Amino acid sequence: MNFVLIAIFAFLVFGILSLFTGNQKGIKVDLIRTFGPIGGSIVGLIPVIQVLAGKTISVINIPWQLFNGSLSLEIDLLSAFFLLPIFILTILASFYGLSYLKNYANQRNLGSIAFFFNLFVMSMVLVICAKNIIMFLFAWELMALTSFFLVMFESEKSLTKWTGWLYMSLTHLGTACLFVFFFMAADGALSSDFGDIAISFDKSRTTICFILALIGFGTKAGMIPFHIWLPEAHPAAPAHVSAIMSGVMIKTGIYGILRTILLIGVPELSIGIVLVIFGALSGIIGILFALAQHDIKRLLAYSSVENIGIILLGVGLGVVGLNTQSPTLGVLGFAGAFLHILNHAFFKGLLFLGAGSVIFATHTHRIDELGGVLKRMPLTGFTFFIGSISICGLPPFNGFISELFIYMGSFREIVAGDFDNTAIIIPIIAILALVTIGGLAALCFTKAFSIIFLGEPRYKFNHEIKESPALIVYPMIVLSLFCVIIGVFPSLTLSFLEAPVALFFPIEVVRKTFAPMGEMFGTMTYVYLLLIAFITLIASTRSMIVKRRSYQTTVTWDCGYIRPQATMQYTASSFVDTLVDIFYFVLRTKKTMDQPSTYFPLKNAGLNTRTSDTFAQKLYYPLYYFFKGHMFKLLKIQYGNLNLYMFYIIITLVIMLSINLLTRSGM
Amino acid sequence: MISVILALVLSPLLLGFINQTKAFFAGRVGVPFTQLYFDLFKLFKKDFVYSKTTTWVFRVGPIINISAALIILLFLPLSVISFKGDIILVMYLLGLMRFFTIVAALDTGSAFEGMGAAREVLYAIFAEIVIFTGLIALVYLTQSLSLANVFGKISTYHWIHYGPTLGLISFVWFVILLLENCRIPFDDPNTHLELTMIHEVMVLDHGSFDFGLIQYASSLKLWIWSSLLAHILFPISSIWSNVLGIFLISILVGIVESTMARFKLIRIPQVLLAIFALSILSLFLMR
Repeated sequence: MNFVLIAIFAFLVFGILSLFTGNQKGIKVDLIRTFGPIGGSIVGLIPVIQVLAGKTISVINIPWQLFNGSLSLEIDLLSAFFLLPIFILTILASFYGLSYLKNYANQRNLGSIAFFFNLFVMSMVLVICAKNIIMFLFAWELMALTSFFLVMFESEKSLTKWTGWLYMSLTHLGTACLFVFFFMAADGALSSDFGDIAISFDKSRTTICFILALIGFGTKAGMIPFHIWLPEAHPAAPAHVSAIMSGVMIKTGIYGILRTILLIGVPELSIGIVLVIFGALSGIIGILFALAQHDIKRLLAYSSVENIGIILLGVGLGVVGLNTQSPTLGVLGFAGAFLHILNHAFFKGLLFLGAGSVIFATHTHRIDELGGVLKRMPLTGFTFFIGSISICGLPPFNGFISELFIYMGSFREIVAGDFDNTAIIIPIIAILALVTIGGLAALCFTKAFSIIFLGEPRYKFNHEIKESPALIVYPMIVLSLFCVIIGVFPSLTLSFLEAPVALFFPIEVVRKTFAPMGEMFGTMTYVYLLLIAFITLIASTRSMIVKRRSYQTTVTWDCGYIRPQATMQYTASSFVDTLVDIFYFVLRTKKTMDQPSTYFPLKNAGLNTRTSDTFAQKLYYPLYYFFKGHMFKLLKIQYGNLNLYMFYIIITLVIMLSINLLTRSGM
Repeated sequence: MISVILALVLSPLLLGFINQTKAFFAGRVGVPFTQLYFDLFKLFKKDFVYSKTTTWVFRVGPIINISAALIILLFLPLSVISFKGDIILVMYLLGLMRFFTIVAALDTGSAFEGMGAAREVLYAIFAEIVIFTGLIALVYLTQSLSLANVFGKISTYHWIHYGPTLGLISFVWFVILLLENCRIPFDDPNTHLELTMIHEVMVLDHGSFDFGLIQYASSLKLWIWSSLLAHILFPISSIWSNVLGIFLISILVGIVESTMARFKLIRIPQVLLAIFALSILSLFLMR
């Protein structure tokens, strides 16, 4: 039985079926809309687990002229590793979406949303499985298009429209680089199949090909400076789609980079260093922009840029390790990158679903309008809390483990290294970048969690705020369980990571490097259990004492306020204000202030800060306006006359044909 | 194991030493050495008052703080647990303590505590970078990755061959000790009512048992940092010399507090960047 094909057909068939459900409501309609993603993903998980356990499964391989080779889908180890989070997150997000979209049932055509959702998941699976250039690019385009329609969910808003076009144009700029990259790589190959390209690839082109691939895939991944679509597009989509886009879709960019390494060979050392530097920059700049945001989903989207940075950092160390014959750095770098791919899918999925749950209940996504939500939504708050600690990379949760791999690789490299050798700068950069990211992430997520969930409500809503329905809450609980389990029992990850890392390093080397990690992780579990024992011991002591003493509640003391007000609280802006000032040279935050003017001010004073993307403002828009200005000159050849256009096409074809004939005859 | 018991028993005494030194400089009699023990005893007997705004986060914060501090004690040199790479775990456990202190402070919905939390987390960013730069140097010098060895293995040999590096690192770590433990010139532990304070203002609303835990945890934290610094400054691998070193450092802290004024808050990030530059310099001096 070919389970992946069944899954793909399930996505396709139920996608088309749900298109016909249109605006209808009811259990049957819900079933049609969600059966595809849930059923398909469950079926799809079977071969993924088989492959991770050591088998290779060729899904389909039919020679086909259309693809200049064969229609080839295959799940190898790399594909299986990336499919795992896709399927898991899709299942959870589908359940979630079922409940989440109820708020929109009367305004939108949910049938078409389900259609695009199905096709979106299908296209991601195809991208990961495709083993033929044309097949891959086809799936890549399908993924861009379907996610575009999901981003355009609230298309009547002008901002959403603009967002959609920004996403569309940038993702195509990236794809353009991929076209050039793939056709350069395939030049001289027997067919467009990955297998043939790997054999006949001209090694002298490795560097230029890799740079093209890095731009193309980096755009999808959200690597700085190609990230500017990401903080716009992810918040526009419904929460469960944002979770998938941030949790797994952008990882297809990372998949592409890793696939490129397997396809055209290991790039040289300088590319590894470039990856490390861009990873560090994406991480630091991404999280800086994240903490300056006031929109919860934009904040999370920028934080995805940060996490992609950490992953790229790991991959970069891996490439450096492959070049400098230092397996420790390389193996642990790749291992950290692989684990972070999985971890980020879990905690970022969790946080986006949590943000969606808050938006579902309060109808606002502005952090500064919230506050005190934890009391009203205890489960959402608790899971969001776990997600926040995990994403800060703090023990005993999963984010710490993937960062620990990168730390250990770098530190072990330093122990083995020599300060007379300049190469030692690379692990030092990696360590310092990770520390900086960790510290900034702590600021960002203490802000996100505290301002939303703690304190008093800053805004009086007309409706009651209550916990979201079970279908929204349970997926978040499942994801936070993943975060805890990976975090507390990190030894489990080693056997799981062994095979993917062994794609780049010999298996014996991987095992040898992992052996000390195994010991370390084993001890860490005991330390965590001890920590939990201490916590329970002290907590129970406390509750014993509480029983014997009087216990009162009153207002926050705060040095003697009698009637503290919600507006007195620190806000999201004030919490990060000093840092935003320090990093003004990157963030360029605009502040507008309404100061009280007279001795008896009647008007409310206020401070408004806004941080738009510096890269968009300083790099992309000037470039765009430059081209826009010059493009008008091209109007001369665009008369709107169809006959003329036909003529252009014929001329182009003639020129191409003559070039082709001339080069063939050897002139 | 002895070192853990010593830490648990003696750590509140450190504050007594600091305060006595300050009193000596000011020509006062000063509070008794054992003041913190009385304070803790008194706090554990008190009744509970909580703000209506607070949630479980506020109650759980002090518990996590003290538990993490206890775990870190076990990793100190000449202590109980040690494995390769535990330096990172310990540093991140300190981060976990800070995370919970901050969210607990913000749970009160008070502007004061928000202010303190914002400052704490901001300075921590710089402090952590400096700490890890120092760790890079020490890891390289001692060729080891466990806290016990990175600090315990430093010997007179290292001081002879890498004197400038170790000297710089000791200075930098002393500054970080002052910052992390909320001492002058970064923070003033005495006057929590002023708007300029950091740590004390974050725990304004904690009381009774919880506040006792916080006080005890911060005395343990002071012990931890002093112990690590004492291992660099007094490179003899014995518990007693370390304890002696710890108390000498606490007197040094007292001297600094008596002779310096607190920095303006705006200056603190600049001071920290200068310290970061020094710690990078210590890497250059390595060869």
